[in-house]
Amino acid sequence: MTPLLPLLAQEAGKLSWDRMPSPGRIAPELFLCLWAVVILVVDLVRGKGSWKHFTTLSLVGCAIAFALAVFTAPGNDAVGYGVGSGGVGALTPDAISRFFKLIFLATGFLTVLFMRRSADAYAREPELHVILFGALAGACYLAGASELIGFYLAFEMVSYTGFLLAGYRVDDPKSAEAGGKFVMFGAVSSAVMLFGLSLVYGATGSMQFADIAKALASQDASPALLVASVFVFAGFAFKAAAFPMQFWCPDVYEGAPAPVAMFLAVASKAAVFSAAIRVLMLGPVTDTAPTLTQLLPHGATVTQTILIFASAATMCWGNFAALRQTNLQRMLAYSSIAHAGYLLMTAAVVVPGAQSGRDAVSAMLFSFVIYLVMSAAAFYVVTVMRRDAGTAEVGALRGFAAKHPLFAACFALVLFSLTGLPPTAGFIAKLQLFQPVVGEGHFVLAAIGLLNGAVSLYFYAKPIGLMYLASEGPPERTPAPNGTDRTILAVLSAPLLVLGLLWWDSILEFAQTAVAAGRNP
Amino acid sequence: MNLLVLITFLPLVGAALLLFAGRQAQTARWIGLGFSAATTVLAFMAWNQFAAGPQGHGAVFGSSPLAISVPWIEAGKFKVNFAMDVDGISVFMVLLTGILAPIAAAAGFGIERNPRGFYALYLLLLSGMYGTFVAEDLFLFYVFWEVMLLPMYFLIGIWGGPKREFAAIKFFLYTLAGSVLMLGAFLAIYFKLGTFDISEILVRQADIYKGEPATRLTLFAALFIGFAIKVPLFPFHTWLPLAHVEAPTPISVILAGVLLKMGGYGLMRMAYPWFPDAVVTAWPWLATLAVVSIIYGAFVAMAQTDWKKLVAYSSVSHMGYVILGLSALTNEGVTGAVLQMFSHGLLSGMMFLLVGVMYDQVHHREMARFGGLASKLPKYTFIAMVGFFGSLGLPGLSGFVSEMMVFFGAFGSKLPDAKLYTIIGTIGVVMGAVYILVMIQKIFLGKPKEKHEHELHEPSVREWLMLAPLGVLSLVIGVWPRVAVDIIDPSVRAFTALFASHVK
Amino acid sequence: MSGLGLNHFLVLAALLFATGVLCVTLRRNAIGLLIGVELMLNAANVNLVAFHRWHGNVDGAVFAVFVIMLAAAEAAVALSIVLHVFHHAASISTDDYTEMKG
Repeated sequence: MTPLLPLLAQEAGKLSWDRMPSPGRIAPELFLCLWAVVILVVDLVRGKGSWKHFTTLSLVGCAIAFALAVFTAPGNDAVGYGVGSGGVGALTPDAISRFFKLIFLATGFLTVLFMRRSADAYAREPELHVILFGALAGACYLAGASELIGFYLAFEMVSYTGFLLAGYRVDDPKSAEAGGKFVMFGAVSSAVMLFGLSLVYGATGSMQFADIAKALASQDASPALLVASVFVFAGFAFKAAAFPMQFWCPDVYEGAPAPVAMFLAVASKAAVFSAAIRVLMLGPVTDTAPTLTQLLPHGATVTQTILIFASAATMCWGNFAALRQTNLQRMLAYSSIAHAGYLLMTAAVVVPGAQSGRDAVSAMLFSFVIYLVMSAAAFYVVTVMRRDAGTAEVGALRGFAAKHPLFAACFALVLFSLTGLPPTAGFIAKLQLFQPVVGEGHFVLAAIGLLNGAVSLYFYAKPIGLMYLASEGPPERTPAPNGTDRTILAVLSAPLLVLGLLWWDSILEFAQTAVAAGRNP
Repeated sequence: MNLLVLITFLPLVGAALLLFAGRQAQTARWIGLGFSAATTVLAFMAWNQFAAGPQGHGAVFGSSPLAISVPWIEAGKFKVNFAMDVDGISVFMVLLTGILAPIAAAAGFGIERNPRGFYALYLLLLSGMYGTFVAEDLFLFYVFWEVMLLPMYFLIGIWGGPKREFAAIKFFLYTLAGSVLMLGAFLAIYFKLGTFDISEILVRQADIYKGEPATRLTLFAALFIGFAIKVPLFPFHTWLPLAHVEAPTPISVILAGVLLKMGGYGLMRMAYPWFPDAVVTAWPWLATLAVVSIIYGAFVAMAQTDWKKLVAYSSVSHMGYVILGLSALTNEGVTGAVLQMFSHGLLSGMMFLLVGVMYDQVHHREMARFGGLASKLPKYTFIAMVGFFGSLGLPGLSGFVSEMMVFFGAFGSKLPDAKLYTIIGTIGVVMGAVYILVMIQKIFLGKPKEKHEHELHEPSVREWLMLAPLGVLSLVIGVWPRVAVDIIDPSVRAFTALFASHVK
Repeated sequence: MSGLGLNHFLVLAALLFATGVLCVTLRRNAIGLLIGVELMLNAANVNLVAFHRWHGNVDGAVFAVFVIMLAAAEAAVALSIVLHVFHHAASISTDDYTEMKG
């Protein structure tokens, strides 16, 4: 038992300029942090509080970061400084994390765009954009994290910024309460997860995912490790809005502003799954890739069992609780929970290292792209509704199709895509998610998932029925989309039809190449 | 341009055209009718081309002269081809669709509200129907199958009767539940065999979970339920009466005429040939459900006071014959089943049109309020008799031929207790006679019951043009069934041959 | 230092964690909840430091330092949000946070 100070001195001795990691590989994360500072500086320089061009500044920042992420070559080596057992805070920006970064940055771009379109005064506050960029930076980091400290830091970064984003409308009691519920739930979950992580460290003596995997594969199961796996899963389940930690989701999505809800639904969820993919699925022990299923010896079965039950419960809970909803934003929250369930279902049936594992992971990546487009379109409609009609109640859409046929048709398309009906892209995403499940023989789970999809039609068809089949409501309570709104929604929803028929295989292949190039060759 | 591709996508072109050119109600109607009629011509051409081909050659799905297959989606291992083909059975169904398409379109001339939307959705529906019958790739089949659901939801939900929204969503939910079960089975099969090609799966069907009879039975059950919902077979039929009653007349015609046949077609194309062992194992269930359908449908029909609902339940009953004949796995039985599908398509289409003709005049469908129409409207009564007696199974019309073949086939089947099931099933014929005759007595015979607001008039020219061809075709099949049987026979024989080794 | 082994620290950590959980679940008080969270985080810290000594590498200690920092940040974020909720609901009892239901 070596005392701390000599250890530190030893580590300090290893520091040197040559071992500085090259910043080029983490350009997107660095840029995002930089841009947050730029926004702050601009705000300071300007002196006054709000400014309508902060949104433009954010849009530009997101676009540049996107370009950086596209052009940063992925690689399977860690980027870190090498303190401690391998590199505290190291991350490994490989092809899979790049794929996720593109998703996060696209979501960020759309979030800022929606905030702009929502005519919300708070969108002009600089702090909001700083927080958003912090969230994006954390998410990008999380996608590449390959050891526990960095993973936890990034996880918390995404969480805290999420809390703040949810509650940023300080004069709206619903928004404040959303932030409050989110933070209370989130704080507890992260503390629980940290305890689990500390137990994992105790059992293996290392922070690097790869070393953890190796160490645990040669150990027997112990109560401590089982507890650890449950606690860590609890942390994941919270962020991903999965059973049993999804109870915050409807309230937070309903209270938060619509663009923030979209950000949480897509980026936050994708961030958590990007980490979960590392932790849960990639590679057998001989690879350099980490896997939590080997964090538990015989753990593949235990983690799989947890995931199977959690996914079935999540899907059912999300779909059945949504049946009663009349608030569109709340309904989308439940739909988001259900989607987390479908993703967990695909995650649950993976055997690490086998080809089927790769297929399942590529299916998840692919479905995130589609899910991004669908959610963006759906939440955009909600944004317009809240802007014009002041409410997200579905009744505000009565007879909407008569006056606004294109907007209504696009929304109907989005809703059908969320249900998973051909010929939309949502169907393709569901198809790809279900394929590994059925292929591995989990018929019951697949049947539950498929039937849930059918049930979900009921509440997705409600707005459609109201738009087309019901008579019109009072004009002051009806959304009034203008030309820009129509264009945005058309641009967001057209891919759902086009991709449903034609070029989705390219996206899937892109995902498959990313997975193949990712951290297990 | 491949004929099958043309048939399938021409209605879509029409729907797109309507979006631009259909502002005027009359233009919309004529575009709708025009494109439907164009598909009729193409359907007859396909029938002739198929009939002209070498008979045995055309028996195998996937190798007829009309086949087409191009690569469509390719992502890693996931390969889908855009493949279309027909065999004897599917070309017969395409013909049925072709016959009913313009008739239902003509029936839609009475739609006042937004005819452009109506016909656009109708043409989209047509496209989906044709596509389902000719798809040779499972993925393509599933896409077309689901493409049929969306227009139906709107067509029933917007243009239907008082309870249309509920009917529309119930229809949608039921059918979708069945579809997802089908999808699950398709995925399992795809995973095992690595292909979506229907004819290839047929060749390799024994490899699907070989040696795991329980799994095969489960997959068969999933497929069966998915298609049985469409048939509709008891106990999956509860969506039908509501959907039929609330749908507008043209949609009822298409629903009864074509959409119900999708279930039978799917069973014949996929569920049965791919799991012959499961079919034989499940025979008692299949036969029981079929017989219960026949009898239950007839019983409930007898109790109806709403004319359209009576016809709807008669559909349930008649489709029970299809399942009985199909499950018997004999040549006569399967031929009877296919003929029954065609005949029922014609006759139930006719019946719904007849009800619609009256409804358009008096705006109600209660049988008790009619009466003595025979004395007031002799010509209408004549054509109505053709339709209703045909449905009853009167010799000379197509219903008799098909029902007879079903019963002969079922009686002669080597499956256990087949004779018993057949005998019980024949009760359905008697009951069918009961409800049809009682209905005729209530509506057409006796003295007129009430004074109607407007003087009733005979069917118009348009209505005659819709009803007459159906009656004539039913008569043709009724007296000269060989016209059709010769074409479908090779495919039927190929079908029953699959089960030869399993039926002891 | 005799008699004080790894297990003592782990038990201490477990007790702290349990206390934190009780604090979170049994109190209907927003501030109390945050106190419970702090307890849980520090329980994990005890774990980390104990394991750091036991394994002999510096990671645990580094992680513990980061956690202390994160706990501070979390407290700041959480308290500022709770402050706003209090402003609207005029209560720190979680039973009163009922703007949204269902």
